[in-house]
Amino acid sequence: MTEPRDKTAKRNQSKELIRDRTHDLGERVKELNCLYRISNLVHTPDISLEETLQGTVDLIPPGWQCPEMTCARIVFDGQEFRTENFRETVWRQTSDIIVNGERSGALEVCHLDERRENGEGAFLPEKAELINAIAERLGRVIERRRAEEALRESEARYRALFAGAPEGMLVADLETKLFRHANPAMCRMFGYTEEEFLRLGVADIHPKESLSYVLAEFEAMAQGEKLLSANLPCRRKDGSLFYADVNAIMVALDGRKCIVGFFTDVTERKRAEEALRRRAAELEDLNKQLTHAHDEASKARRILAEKSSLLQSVAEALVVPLSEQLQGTASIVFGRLASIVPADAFALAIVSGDQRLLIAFAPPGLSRRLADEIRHRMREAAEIALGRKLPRTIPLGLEPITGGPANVETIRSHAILPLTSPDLETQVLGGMFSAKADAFEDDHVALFSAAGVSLASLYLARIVHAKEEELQRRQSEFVATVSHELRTPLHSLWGFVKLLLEEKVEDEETRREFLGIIDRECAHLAALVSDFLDVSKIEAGRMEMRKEPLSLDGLVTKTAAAFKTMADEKAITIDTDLPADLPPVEGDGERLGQVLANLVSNAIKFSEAGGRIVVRARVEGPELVVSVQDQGIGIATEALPHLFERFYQADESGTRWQGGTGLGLNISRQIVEAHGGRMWVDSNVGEGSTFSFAIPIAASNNEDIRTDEAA
Amino acid sequence: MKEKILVVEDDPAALRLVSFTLESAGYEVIAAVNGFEGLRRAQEEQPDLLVLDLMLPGIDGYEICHRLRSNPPGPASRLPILMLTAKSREADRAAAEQVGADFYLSKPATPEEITTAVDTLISQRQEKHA
Repeated sequence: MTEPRDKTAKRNQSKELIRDRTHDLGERVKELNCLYRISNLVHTPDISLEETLQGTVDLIPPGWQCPEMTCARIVFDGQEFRTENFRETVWRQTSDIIVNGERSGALEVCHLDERRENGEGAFLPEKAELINAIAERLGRVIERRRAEEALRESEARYRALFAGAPEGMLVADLETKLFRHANPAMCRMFGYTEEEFLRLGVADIHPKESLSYVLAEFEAMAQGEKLLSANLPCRRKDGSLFYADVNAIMVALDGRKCIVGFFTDVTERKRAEEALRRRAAELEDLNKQLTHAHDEASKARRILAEKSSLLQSVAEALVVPLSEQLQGTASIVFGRLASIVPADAFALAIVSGDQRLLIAFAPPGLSRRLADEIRHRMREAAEIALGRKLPRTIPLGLEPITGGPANVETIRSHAILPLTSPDLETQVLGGMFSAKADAFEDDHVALFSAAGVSLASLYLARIVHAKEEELQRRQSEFVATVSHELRTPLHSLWGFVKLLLEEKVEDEETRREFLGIIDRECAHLAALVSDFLDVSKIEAGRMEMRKEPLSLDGLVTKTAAAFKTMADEKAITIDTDLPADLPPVEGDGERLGQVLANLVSNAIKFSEAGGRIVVRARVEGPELVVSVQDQGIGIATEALPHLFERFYQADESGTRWQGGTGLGLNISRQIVEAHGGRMWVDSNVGEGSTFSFAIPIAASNNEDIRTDEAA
Repeated sequence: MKEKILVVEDDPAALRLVSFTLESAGYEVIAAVNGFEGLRRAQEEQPDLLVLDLMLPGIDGYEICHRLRSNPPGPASRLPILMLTAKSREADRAAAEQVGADFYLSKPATPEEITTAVDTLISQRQEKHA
């Protein structure tokens, strides 16, 4: 009897199961509806993410068993989207919204009624899965939305770039060579609208002759070339040509390989380049001219530098002590010159005031023959320059010159220049010599002249300096000597006068002797004072010489007569030897008389008792020569050169010259020289001496003299 | 015994003056008129004093003085020397002292000055000998 009961129970059980299942099915349909709607919602175009999220929470409660008792919320990115009835309860289910792997928000579903006591999980597993699925779906939706947004922004950016770029941008299909895009700059550059461009291809914008090149470029790009750039001729819509720099890259556009070309119009730049090229050519020409001018200037500057370096050498040589004189200086200067001018030898010719010709040459290693030739040429040049023959040559070797010639055999060219102003007393000529013909150019001569003039000036300055020093030395020596010479007679005079005054002398004979000494010393003192006066006049150049016609025979006769008494004392005879027709001279009778008196008195002093003195006058060429010959003690050969020096005493063994001042011969010679004449002595010890002087014969005729004498 | 004085002087008037002055003062005077003669007599004749001019023919007064003082010790090297000279610069006096002159008298000098100088040198010499 249980079976029917069982069947009923089973049937009831089945009915219940079916009811449950139907209920469940209804629930599942509701859930599917929910998901479907949400799916529709998120695919709805043109709605914002916010609208999507809000829509999603609103769609959730209808998917639940008791929609009125269910509420939902999405928290995302700081925003909250909730159902109107949302309230937080403890009976809830939360799922994370994961975006790009990060938890970015949460979906929350709550039951508004009391939580049931039974069941651990508050939500059925199906419900929890549903919520998880929705959250998961939202995460993907958000990711896609964001990607789309980014793409939109990026597209906008590129579009702006494309439109606003200053360069022309042109997109061409790699295969068809047709254009797909052209930006506004490109349109302006070519004069086409973008629509017009899209009907054109590569062949339309380049001239035929460069098309093959362009197509080759396309081919290269097709082969994988990443980037190309070229300067290409382009044709505008109006047919005109221009040049553009084109850079091209490959891009894929809608699945097709395209080339994007960036065009820059370089017509202006080309024009500028062309102008620059022309300008460069002009500059090149100018530069050539300047280089030439510069070379010339360098040459001039080099010569100038050499000149100044030479002058520097000369200046340095200035500090060489005076004693080293010309040789050292010339060696330095010629040494420098030798490295600049192609000369094998140098020479200086100096014609001094006393007509001596001094020739210095370098280097000293020259052969004698060559040295002689240089001397000869210098002498010739000097004589031509001075317009007269020169008597003597004193050779003067120079220090060796560095870099001097080793073996010069012949002189084939030379340059000889005057280095001093022609009105100077001392003349200097410089010469340089070469073994080569025509060795010297103008520059060399100019350099040599510059150096030589400096050298000559230096030499002249030194002569002046040396003369001044010598003059000063002689003056102070003269003063000392004058003092000494005056003190000597004064000493005796004073002494004897004291002795006489103090009556120390007892016998009359000694007294008379002392008075005689006093008399002679007074005369000596007077002579000294007179001679000193003459010498100081001569020194100062103030010795006045009258220039009057003069007959020397009268003067000779007068002088001989004047010294007759003095000669008689020593039994000396004075003879005169005068031709009848002696021509007159021009001069100062008193001064020449002084000379004659000096010579005759000396002759008497140095003659032995009973000796003979002859005074002669004769004509020798253009001169009248007067000589005074004695038979006295004579003069030693070594003393002869010094005889006309002041205070020179020839006889070193004997006493001082009697009454002599030591100035007579010196004064005499100076007087004769002031007349344009000269004075000399011939003498041998023991055979007597002959003092002579020569005076030029006057230009005036004899008649005037005789008239003078008659008057 | 009279002291013997050698006068070396090339100026005849000056020599006469000095000779007369010194003879009057009681000395024996011998003379030389040039440097060589002066040096020879100074060394050979043993004078008691030398009156020496500086400017002399041959060798000068400095040289005579120097040579005498360079002799081996003896009368010649110790000979009192009176320089009597017309050279009057301070340098001349210093040079004379340098070569060993005992006294320097520059011309013009009076007979009295000469006598006084000679007397003084002679007495100094005698003191040294005593």
